[in-house]
Amino acid sequence: MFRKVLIANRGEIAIRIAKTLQMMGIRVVAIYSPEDHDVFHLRFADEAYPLIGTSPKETYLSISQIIEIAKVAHVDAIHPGYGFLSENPLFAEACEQPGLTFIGPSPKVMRLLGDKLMAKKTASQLGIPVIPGGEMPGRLDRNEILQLANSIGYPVLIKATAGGGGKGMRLVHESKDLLPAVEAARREAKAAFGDDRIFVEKYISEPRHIEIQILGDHHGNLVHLFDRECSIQRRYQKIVEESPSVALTASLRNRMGEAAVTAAKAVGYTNAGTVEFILDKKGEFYFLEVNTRLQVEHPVTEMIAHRDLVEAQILVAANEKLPFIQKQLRMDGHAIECRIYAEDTTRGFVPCTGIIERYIPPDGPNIRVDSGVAEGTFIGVDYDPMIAKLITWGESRRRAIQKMVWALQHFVILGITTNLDFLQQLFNHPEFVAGNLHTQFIKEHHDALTQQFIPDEAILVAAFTASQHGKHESSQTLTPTQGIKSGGPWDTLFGWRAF
Amino acid sequence: MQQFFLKSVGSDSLFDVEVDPAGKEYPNRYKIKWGGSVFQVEMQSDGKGDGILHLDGTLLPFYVVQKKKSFQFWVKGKTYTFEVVNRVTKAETSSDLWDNEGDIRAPMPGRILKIAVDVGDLVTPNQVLLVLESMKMEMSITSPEEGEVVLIPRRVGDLVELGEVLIKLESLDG
Repeated sequence: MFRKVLIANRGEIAIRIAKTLQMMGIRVVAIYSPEDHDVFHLRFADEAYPLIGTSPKETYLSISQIIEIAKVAHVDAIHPGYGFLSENPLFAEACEQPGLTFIGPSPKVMRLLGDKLMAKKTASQLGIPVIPGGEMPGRLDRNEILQLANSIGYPVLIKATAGGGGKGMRLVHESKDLLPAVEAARREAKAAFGDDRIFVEKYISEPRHIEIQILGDHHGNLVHLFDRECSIQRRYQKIVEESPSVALTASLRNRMGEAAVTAAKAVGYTNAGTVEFILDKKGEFYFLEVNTRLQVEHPVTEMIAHRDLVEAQILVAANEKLPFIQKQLRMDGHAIECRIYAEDTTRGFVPCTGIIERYIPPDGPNIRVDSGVAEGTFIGVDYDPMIAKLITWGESRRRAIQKMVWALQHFVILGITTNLDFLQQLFNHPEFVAGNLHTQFIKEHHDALTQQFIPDEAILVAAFTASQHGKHESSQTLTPTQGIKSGGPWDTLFGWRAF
Repeated sequence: MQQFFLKSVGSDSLFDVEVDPAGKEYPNRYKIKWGGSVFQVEMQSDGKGDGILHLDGTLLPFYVVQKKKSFQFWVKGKTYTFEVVNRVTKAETSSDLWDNEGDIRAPMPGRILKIAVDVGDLVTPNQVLLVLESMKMEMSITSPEEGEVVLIPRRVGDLVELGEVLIKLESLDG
């Protein structure tokens, strides 16, 4: 077993991985950027090494620096987390040296599946259904793209060949919007993955996003840990994930699980991975892609399967056998995760920056909070604006939702704008409760989800706070407002009047 | 008795509020009035801003943080931002933040990825003026009207704040 592992990541996932490593008696090595304002993950490490540089590209994405630190710190293995270098075969390759192990699949498998078109082709050859019209050569010029989209038929979805997470993804309804969307998608793909290749495929309307968690060892044992439904998305990014999906019957779940295992076995998959599918309104599923890493939403699987996926990843990477076989795995109850973001849900979900001044996460039976922030943390523009993941478990979906609503109502985050209120409205929405989910859910119910209502208690607290303001600060900070003309909301002075 | 105009940031609703302490005998009791509503409440405050509101027999804890020009608080599971405004600004604050004629402002904090126009350019409605990037998300800023670009205060790579002027346009019909 490893004695010391480097976590090539930051934020909540670095903390989540560190916890399991330490529980297994393994020493944790952290890395950090000197420009990173949120290095809360260092509090969960045994050793920490600084990276040189300013941008994420120069630091958390620097293969050479991370390998150098791994050598200096004498670590046995590197866990990449998700994002950053987690799906970069060059990084996995760089870890292939005496005494060092990459905790993930082999670079060969990552390269094959990281190319979304190659992955689709592989799945199709195995008899797994793929989205129609998606088989396109990698690099195309503008005219070819136009022709291609016309031949598939609108609406079409543009996707980055090198990665997912919504980066470089654009939905196009008409040919006049195609070229600007292609240009933006290329730029975004280049920035996110260092690879500007994109492809076009038929857009399936109101689909569900269903994925299967897989785990394989180096001794021929490969299992799936059931499904997750991640249909609630905004900007092509998941914000709510649950397991199991309400859309799957036992037989459909088995078929999808078998398809995932077949595909994974065919390419010699090891360690943790996720096979993503699209499920259309008729209940037909199509292979989408394989994510060759631990997913953000892995906790819902951990909650219903009662397994620690990170622990399994580490065991497998250390060449041990998976501690379970398929028939030992059972689904128990229902788990839901939602992602708490620093964003303004009333203005197109734009990211918000600022300092977290108050942070009181909820706690209680079967409530889990995976987070990488604390009071005083600065949320900047250089990293993902996810503050925390909130996960609840219940015997039924209904109980899991009730717990989620309670937990969201008891999550206090002040100082920045978050999606906490939006999420409460989402979990209270009758269509969500009924399980009628699809990837356009938020767009379709946007007005109901972003409705603003100011109840009496809010005005009472606001009035009381305003009346107390002068009592806590020197009178100089209070400006008499009479006669002062303001130039607009930016110049509005905090003032009061006494009668 | 104190009187305030409270503005809810985001919804832009204005409340003309009166706060009347019940007196020395009942130090935590207040009569709070707005519109046609009158509430007699008890406010248990920790003296630093946080506290518990007693409303019709129900306990409602609240947490408050002061910002530069506003205050943000949490009560009964929801978060609100309010600011105190005066009569003079009452009319003006109801106008939208982005309505300052000719100013194209940043709808989110971020980095300028691309500037697609030059000073002196004539632009048409919906023309892309520049591209902002924040947390790997791209947003194209388009022109709301026909006009001439008169000022581009920032350069590619610059970090801009929410609401900062990105481009000044001069309307052609003016």
